[in-house]
Amino acid sequence: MIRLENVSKYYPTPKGRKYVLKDVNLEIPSGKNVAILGINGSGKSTLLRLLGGIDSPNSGRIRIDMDISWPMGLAGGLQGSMTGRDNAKFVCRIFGDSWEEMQARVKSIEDFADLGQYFDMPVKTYSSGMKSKIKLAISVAFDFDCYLFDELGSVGDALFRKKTESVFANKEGKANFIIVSHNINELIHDCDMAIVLHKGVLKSFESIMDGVNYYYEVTGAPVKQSILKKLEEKHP
Amino acid sequence: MALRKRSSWQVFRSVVFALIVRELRTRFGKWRLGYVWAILEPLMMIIVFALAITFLRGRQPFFDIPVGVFIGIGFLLFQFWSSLAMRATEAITANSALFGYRQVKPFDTVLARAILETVVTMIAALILIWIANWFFGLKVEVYDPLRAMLVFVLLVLFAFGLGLALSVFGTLQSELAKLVPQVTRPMLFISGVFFPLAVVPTHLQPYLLWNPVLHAIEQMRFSMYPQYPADGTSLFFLAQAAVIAMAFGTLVYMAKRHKLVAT
Repeated sequence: MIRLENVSKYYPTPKGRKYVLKDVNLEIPSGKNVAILGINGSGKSTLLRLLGGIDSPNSGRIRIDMDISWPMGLAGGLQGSMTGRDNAKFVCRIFGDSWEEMQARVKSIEDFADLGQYFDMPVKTYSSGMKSKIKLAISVAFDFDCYLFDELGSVGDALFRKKTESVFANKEGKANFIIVSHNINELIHDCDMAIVLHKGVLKSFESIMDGVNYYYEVTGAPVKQSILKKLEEKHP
Repeated sequence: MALRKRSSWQVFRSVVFALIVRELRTRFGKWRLGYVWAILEPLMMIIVFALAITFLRGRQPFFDIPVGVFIGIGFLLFQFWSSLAMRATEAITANSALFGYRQVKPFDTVLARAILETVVTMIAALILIWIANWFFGLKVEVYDPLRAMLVFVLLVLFAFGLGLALSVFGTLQSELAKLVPQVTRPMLFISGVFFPLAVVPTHLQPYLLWNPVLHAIEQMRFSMYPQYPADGTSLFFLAQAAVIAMAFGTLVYMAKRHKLVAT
């Protein structure tokens, strides 16, 4: 379970504090896949960074009683001058693997990422899709209770989508996912509940469809035909 | 492979180890002769400087210390602290992508670089002493090993404290990374690498004695050659500088640590 208690996060700007989260109270139960929705700059990534423990709130507390992954996004997490293999080894080492454990885990990462010779090339030579692949591969090599995905699939090809599908299937019942994405169709498919961030206000919804509906209402984002159909089934 | 519960000390240790391995790969892995180069570079510099000094003032030793050894002690210690200052300044920005893992703290990257620099210097010193004894037949030995160790430990602490502060400033003010070598390099000429303090006119000595590196270099020579006149320099001054640098570095880091990771 993840619990946010009176969490506030702001960034100082020349025009005063810009609040991303203001006095947020939230409980995410275990075993639910959560979609985080919001327009660009609404603080989705900041929320994930707070959950992943690489940023801290200005006030309030975040309680997490499970093993949570680092947030996997388009930026960060890979050292460009190191090869994919060295990056994988680095993560194994910071998680305290012995040499034998590291060998086994790096092998599984290499197989899952399926990058061929690129696995032994510096990460800065990778395309963004390849970076997403190796980030996904490294994280699923560890048994977290909760994985944080930050638009990881947005640059992936059809094969990448197939890989994430297999991850969701493999980890079902063992782990859950908190996903930031702009692909509403996939979120509806993969997630149970939704969190919508809009203008510093955070709202959570037990049902993903309610969340999607609210998201379209407050943001006024154009609705795709395929999603409209699903919404009408739920909210006639 | 389930995740183990680990103490924060175990996490810290594994992170620093992982960072040292990562630094080793990027620092020495680029060239085939990477590790050899770490010895060859100071050796070549020492030989060039020693030849230049010999050319200028003849072959007579500096108070019993052969020219090559005299320069060698000064150059290695100077190289250690200036290189650590430079690498520490860039430590945090060079590893910024790795702060995406919550286990990795900015402090760890500075510590990893400091440990690596220290170990590299110690290995280089041992090999250079070996080369001096066997190849040049100079009979280098450490008369007072305890003092030598103390001098080195204090210099390490001084350089690390300063490096920690520089790593914070270097991250918050990226121009500083270019400025640090501009300041440290000229200090080669006022740190007593090429001359003993005893040959400096007495009215100028107090100015040079503000520099802790000069104290370290002179005290190190004294620890190896007991007849060497290291008057004016003291272990106490070096210890004070080390304590102040460590306190300053820790203070600056603690005050700004939250600003270092935020992107």
